[in-house]
Amino acid sequence: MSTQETNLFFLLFPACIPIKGDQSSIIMDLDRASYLEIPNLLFDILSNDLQKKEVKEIKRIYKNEYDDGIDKYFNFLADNEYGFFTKTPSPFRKPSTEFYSPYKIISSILEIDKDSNYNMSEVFRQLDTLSCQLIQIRIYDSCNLEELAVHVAVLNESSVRTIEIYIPYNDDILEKDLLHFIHQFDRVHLIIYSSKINKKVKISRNSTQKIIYTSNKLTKQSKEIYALKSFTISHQMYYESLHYNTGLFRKTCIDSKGNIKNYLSHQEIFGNVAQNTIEEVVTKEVFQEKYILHNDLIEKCKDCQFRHMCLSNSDIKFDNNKYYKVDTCGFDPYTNSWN
Amino acid sequence: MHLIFSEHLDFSVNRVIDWLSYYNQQYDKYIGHSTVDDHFAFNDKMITMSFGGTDKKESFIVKNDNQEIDFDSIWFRRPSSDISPFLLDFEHKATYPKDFLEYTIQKRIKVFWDFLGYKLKEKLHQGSFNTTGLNKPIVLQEAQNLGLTIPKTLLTNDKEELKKFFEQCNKKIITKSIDGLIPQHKEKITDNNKHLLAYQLTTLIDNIENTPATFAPSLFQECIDKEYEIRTIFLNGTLYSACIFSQLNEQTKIDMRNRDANHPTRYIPYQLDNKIETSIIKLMNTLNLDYGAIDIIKGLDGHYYFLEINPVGQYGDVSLQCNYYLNKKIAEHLINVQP
Amino acid sequence: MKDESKKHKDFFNIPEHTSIPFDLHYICVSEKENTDDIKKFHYMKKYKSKGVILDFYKKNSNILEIDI
Repeated sequence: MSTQETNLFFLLFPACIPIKGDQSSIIMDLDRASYLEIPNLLFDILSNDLQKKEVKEIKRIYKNEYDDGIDKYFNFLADNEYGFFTKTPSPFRKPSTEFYSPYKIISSILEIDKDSNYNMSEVFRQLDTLSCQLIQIRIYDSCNLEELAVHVAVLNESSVRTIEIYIPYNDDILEKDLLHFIHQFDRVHLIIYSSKINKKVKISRNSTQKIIYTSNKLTKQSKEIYALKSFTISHQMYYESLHYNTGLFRKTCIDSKGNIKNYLSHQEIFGNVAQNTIEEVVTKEVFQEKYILHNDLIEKCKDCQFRHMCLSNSDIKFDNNKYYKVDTCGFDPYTNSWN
Repeated sequence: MHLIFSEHLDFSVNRVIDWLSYYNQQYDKYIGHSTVDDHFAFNDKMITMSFGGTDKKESFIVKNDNQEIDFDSIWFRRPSSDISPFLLDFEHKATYPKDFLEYTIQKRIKVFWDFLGYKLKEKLHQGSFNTTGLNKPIVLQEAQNLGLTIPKTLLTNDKEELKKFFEQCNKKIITKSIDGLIPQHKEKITDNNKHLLAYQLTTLIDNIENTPATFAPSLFQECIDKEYEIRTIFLNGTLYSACIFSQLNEQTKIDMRNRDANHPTRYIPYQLDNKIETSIIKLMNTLNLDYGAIDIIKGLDGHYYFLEINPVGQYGDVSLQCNYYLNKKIAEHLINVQP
Repeated sequence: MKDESKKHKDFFNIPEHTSIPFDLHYICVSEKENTDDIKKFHYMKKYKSKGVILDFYKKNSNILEIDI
């Protein structure tokens, strides 16, 4: 489209959100769950009030030095359905940036080792009452599938969406036993770590359930992975990330001793499932302190273009009036490169 | 207890239940004839309504096992007009034909059922008990009377008149179902072990010659060349509008759930003109509706054409994409809380 | 979803008649993939109905480099 016309405006779709990094920017596409890299200059151009300023005016802001670039980019963005040209921009609105969740607990991780003796079934019942959506169970030592099945069965008609169970590889656990286990629980994925081989077993044609064998090892000291492919781009994730720490917001973790924490790697303990109900612990103000420490407030993260798609459960430290992640990632936004 | 009139599968109800549960509310679901025993039923209740006399004393009591049920609110999401749960089989030995008797009984129970719906609407509620009563041509006529522009519309069983109309409309007209309720046209039918889905679309007629010569009175409209579509959700006096840029491929038209991941349907929050909003609100009040999904076309000619109201239409996509939180708003209306 | 009305033209064989509305001649028929999506929905007590499983807008943690 020729952008020479008068009264021609260019608008981005609200699902396409420009995010500025120190060196490079992106447009997150919440519908397509993908992103497009763009130069910071284009980010600045797109940060103008596109609804009030027609394309011609925007060009003028840059003293008409970038007319060709602006034409090329706006046309590219329109052709690829990131935005559109219109002569009547006034009825279009930006969505509000609110985020609300009806889940009192959104996600939970349980840790089990050979000395664990907390009541897993009871924890599951409490998590379900609090509408927990995601559960991860990390089993470190040996795993008795039959015993585990008794506990997981508590969640059978719950509103939990996904249960990931990490089990150490053991020659004695046969694939048929794992299949027998997973067939009983429609929302379970099994991850067999320290395996000799890497493979994925699909349970059936109609199911997305999987048994994943990985040679990676899992220990209590394991650190979370930060990588492009582990990022999440979605509508709710974006709006949540504007207000909350998407890893820690309404997350509750139970370590091998039954201690209740924000996340397993954190030092602070807020209670123990043997003495406290999960609800009484998570409703305490101190438990929720880190919920609101979102990436825009944290050093380095605030300069990273991936900050609204990156989920990190790291603890956050406060130093010299600034927030830092304790476990940081390998991406350096100041050089725009991965270490 | 909040009573939800729903149907077998309606996922937006789950999202409202999430919010009812967040606010610790009791709820129950009525889906008409159900074999699942955790659904609410009416035929196992004792129902008494009284009124009249000089003191005009009124009562409305629904008892379950001698326990009076307290309805906090009623949500007519997808109300069922099916009275079959009340029609249990009985022994009939007389010579008077049994089906005559059954017909008579049905008529009586329908009157009672409609009165029950009328009484339930006296409570805090959302939606309408009688949504099947909406007559599409009446709605169009009323819309026009209240100042909305509608496409040129023809109701006829006369092929000659249809031909004239076709010429008047530049040989581009559409035919669509006169009954606005989609579910009635969307049945899954098993035929030779294949699942066939029958549905009805708005069909473009651009050649009048090969069309039926004889037909019952049917609805025809001029085909509007559109700039874009607008979906407006009317909820308790407020309009939540979205402009929808679909890729105009058949896929999107038929079923939004099958949209192509690379060509997502784009939504933008949209502000309709004050005059149009006022007319829509008047129309909804005239039709006695507190909820409706309304379709509007912005024509290339600059006019806004009102197309139809679906009183049980889906709002999930508009709510998610425009961040309107309609699930939360519906739940908060039902429990009468201010957010 | 493909419109396969031609393939299944006998499924709805609607005659021209003074009592049959015009639009009923334009019913579309599609073959629905058998039970492909059924496994995504499972009974959940809370909803007294089926709900979606194995699908959420974000993950729990990325503790191992695996791709579920």
